[in-house]
Amino acid sequence: MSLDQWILYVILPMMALSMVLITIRVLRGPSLMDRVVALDLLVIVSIGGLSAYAVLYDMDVLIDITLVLALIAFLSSVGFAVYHMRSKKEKDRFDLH
Amino acid sequence: MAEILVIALLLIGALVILIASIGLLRMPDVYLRMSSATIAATFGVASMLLAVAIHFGSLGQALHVLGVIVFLILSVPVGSHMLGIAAYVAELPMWKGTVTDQLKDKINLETGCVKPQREVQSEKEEDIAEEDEL
Repeated sequence: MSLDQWILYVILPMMALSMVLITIRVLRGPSLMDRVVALDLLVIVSIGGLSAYAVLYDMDVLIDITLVLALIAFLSSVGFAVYHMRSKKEKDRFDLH
Repeated sequence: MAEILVIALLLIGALVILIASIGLLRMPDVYLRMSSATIAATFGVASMLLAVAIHFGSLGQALHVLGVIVFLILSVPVGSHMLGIAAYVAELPMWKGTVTDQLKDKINLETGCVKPQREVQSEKEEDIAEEDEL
């Protein structure tokens, strides 16, 4: 098989399958934190999928998009963690259970 | 030759990511899920990005990709560490087979900060003193 066929028939289906599994965890996750971890992993998996696309179609523009996605994933997970801790503190302070 | 290397690296990356997502689905609690997601995602995505660098083969693109890999290796563990602390502060339940909890008594559950060492020591001494009184 050539490179294109490997990517089209093996690698991209594997990425799609892992995205489906992660989406099941997003839908099922018992706590909010499970969902956030799964969404974080979803963004990172999409970075891998984009890099496979970049090899498939010879588009080097997609590398820049991977950088932006990595930045967004980091910022969103840190922001969520800070927000979650702060919201617990506020709840305790005002006794809003 | 380069093509075989690209295919191999992409395949390793995709396999690792697939294993990570299976782990995310099957692990019993938040902390274990987080560990499987973080380790595998960093390694798998770095391997796939390396394949992109080899495929394009020019220095400019290679440096771009190297920047993304370094940023991922720096940022993913930091982000997931913060998520782990937030999960611990929210007191999410651990799996019943967990053996040790090394953060127990060492973390301030209101602020999420690690307590200074002497505070932990003095609390321990107070506990011992209370036990002696009893």
